[in-house]
This record gives sequence, structure tokens and C-alpha cells, in this order.
Amino acid sequence: MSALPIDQSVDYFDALERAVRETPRGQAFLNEFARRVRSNDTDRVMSAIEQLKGSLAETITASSMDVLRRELETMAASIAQTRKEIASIKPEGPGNNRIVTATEELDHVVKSTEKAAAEILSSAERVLAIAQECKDKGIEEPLCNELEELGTNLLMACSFQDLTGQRMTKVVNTLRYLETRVNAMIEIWGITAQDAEKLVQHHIESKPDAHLLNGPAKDGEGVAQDDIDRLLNGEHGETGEVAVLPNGPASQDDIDQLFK
Amino acid sequence: MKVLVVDDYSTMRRIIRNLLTQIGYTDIDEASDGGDALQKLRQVHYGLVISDWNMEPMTGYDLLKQVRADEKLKTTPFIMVTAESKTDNVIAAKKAGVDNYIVKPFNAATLQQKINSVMQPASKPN
Repeated sequence: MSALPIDQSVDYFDALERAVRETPRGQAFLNEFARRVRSNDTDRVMSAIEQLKGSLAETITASSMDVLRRELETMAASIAQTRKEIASIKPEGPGNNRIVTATEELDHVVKSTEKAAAEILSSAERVLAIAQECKDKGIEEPLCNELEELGTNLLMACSFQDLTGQRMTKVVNTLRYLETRVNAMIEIWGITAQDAEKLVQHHIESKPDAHLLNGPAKDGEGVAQDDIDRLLNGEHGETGEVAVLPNGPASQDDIDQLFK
Repeated sequence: MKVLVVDDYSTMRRIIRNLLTQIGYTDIDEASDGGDALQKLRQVHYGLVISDWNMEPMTGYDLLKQVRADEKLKTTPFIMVTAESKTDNVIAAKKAGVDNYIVKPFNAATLQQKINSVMQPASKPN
């Protein structure tokens, strides 16, 4: 069946509908036809919505996956960085453990302050003894009293060693605890000596004289003032040997190079 | 009168010994922790104990409790000299029977004042 011409279609369709509606059967036919058309349209709209939903869901899923992937990548990078950092804290090898070194340094601070405090105490005791001797000899009392007061002040000032010692001990204990935890992490991560070595190289200070910056020497390490004096004066030791650095012999050529 | 000075830091023992000497107490013994002090206290009669808190293996607080629990020692005057200055510490020590409490760092006058406050007139040096 061909379509109606556009200019006649509306009037012609209305006239036809009216003619059909004149009979009960025609009216029933038209009602059923309208219901079927509506149903068909609804199905098409529903289908379109379903398609849209599906498409939207795909987009959302892809976007979520992307976020998840990025999060996982960030997490993996953080884990790798943490692993590296842990390796750099505690590389294998004797004398190469930063936590142990820091702990030892603090232990030495405690010992050094204890020694200094003992020396100041001895002087304070001597001052107090002199004050007493002066009193006994009948020397001007206000002067003796002032001397005694100064001695007592010196004495009391030495109590800093107890307080700083206690604080240092706390820090040392914390460092020891950290070392235990770091060791546990190293075991969990399975960090190898090679990993650690690489990171130690990476963490080396960039200062040109970084290799010379070791801080105060511990007992038995470093160079004694006498050795330095001999070294600078070009003197030889009692047995005729050239003064050497405690961390290994230095040849005269090496020493001469230092003073060029 | 004998005085027992208990501290794990030799510097502090020496400081307290000097201060005690200055104020007239010359018969002084030293111990480096609570256990060492308890042993001395059970062998010799002391008229005063001046003890630090934070020591190992036995703390001054444990020493105080042991002293107060011991029939022969329980009346010995006990002064705590410590860096532990939290209220909880002071309260705990007070409950355990400490006679006085000095927070480090302290001065000679404070030590003398606290000793005077816990000593009976007969025990004080001339």
C-alpha cells in the first residue's frame, strides 16, 4: 500500500477514522490499534533506555578500573620506595648500619659527658676544699663563702649529666626498638645485600668533602693530637717510622700530597 | 648518722655526697641501684636513704616499697631525688610511703630543706 499524498493525508485519515468509528466493530478495531501502537512505542523507549544504561555502565566500569589501576600503581611505587628506603637504613656489612652507628654515637655522648662532668666535679671539690682551708686559716670570710658558693654551683651544674644521660638513654632505647622493627621489615620484604648496597650509593651525600665528615672520633679511633703534631712537623716516631693515621698507614707521598 | 645515697649515675652520687658533707652529714655510703641498696640496708643501720627513681634492675620506687614492707627498715626516712616529675609519680611515691620528693635538677638549699623536714631533731648533725 502506498502512502497518502501529504496535502490530503490528514483530512483523508480523519474522514476514514470517523467512518470506521461509526460501527462498534470499527471502534473496537481502532481502540485495539491505538493500544498496540502505544505498547510498541513504550517497548522501543524501554529498549533505548536499557541500551543507554548498558553503555553508561560500561563507561563507569572502565573508569573505575582505571582509577583502581592507578591506585595500585601508586601503591606499588610506594611499596618499592619503602623497600628501598628500608634497605638504605640498614645495609649489610659491619659498621655500615646507620641505626647502630647512631646508637653508638649517642652512647659515646653519654660517656663523654660523664667524663666531663667528673672532671668538673673534681675541680668543684677542690674549690670547696680550698674554701674550707681558707676559712680554717682565718682568711676573709666573705671571700671564703663566695668561693664555697661558686664550688657548690659548679657541683650542682654537673647534675646536667644525669638528666642528659637519661634522655640519651631513652633515645638509644628507641633507636634499638626501631632497629628491631626495621630488621623485621627487612625479613618480610626479603631485602638483599645488593639492594642495600645500591641504595647506600644512592644516599651518599653530595658535599664534596662528605667523605671527610665523620664527626668526633670514638675512643681508640681518630688521630691523637701528638700524632697530628708529628705529622704536621714532619717528625718520625720513636722507632723512626713516619707518623701514621689510626685508620691505616699513610705513605709519606700521600702526606706530602696533602700539603702541596 | 649514716646516710645511704642510691643513684645509678656516679656523678649524681658524688654531687649528693658533697652536698651532704657541706651540710654536716659525713658518714655516707653509696649504692648504684635498689637491689644494691637493699642489701646494704639489711646489713647496716642507716638513718636516711636518698634515692633516685629510675635505676636498673631495681628502681627507687621498688626499693621504697621493699623498705616499707620490711619490719626492720620500715621507719627509715626515705627521700626520692629524681627526674621523674609527673604528678602520678609523686602520688605513687607518697602512697608507697616516701617522706619527701626532690625533682632534679635541684640545689643545695632544697636538699637541705627536705632533709631537715624528714629528720628528727636528734638525728640532725650539729
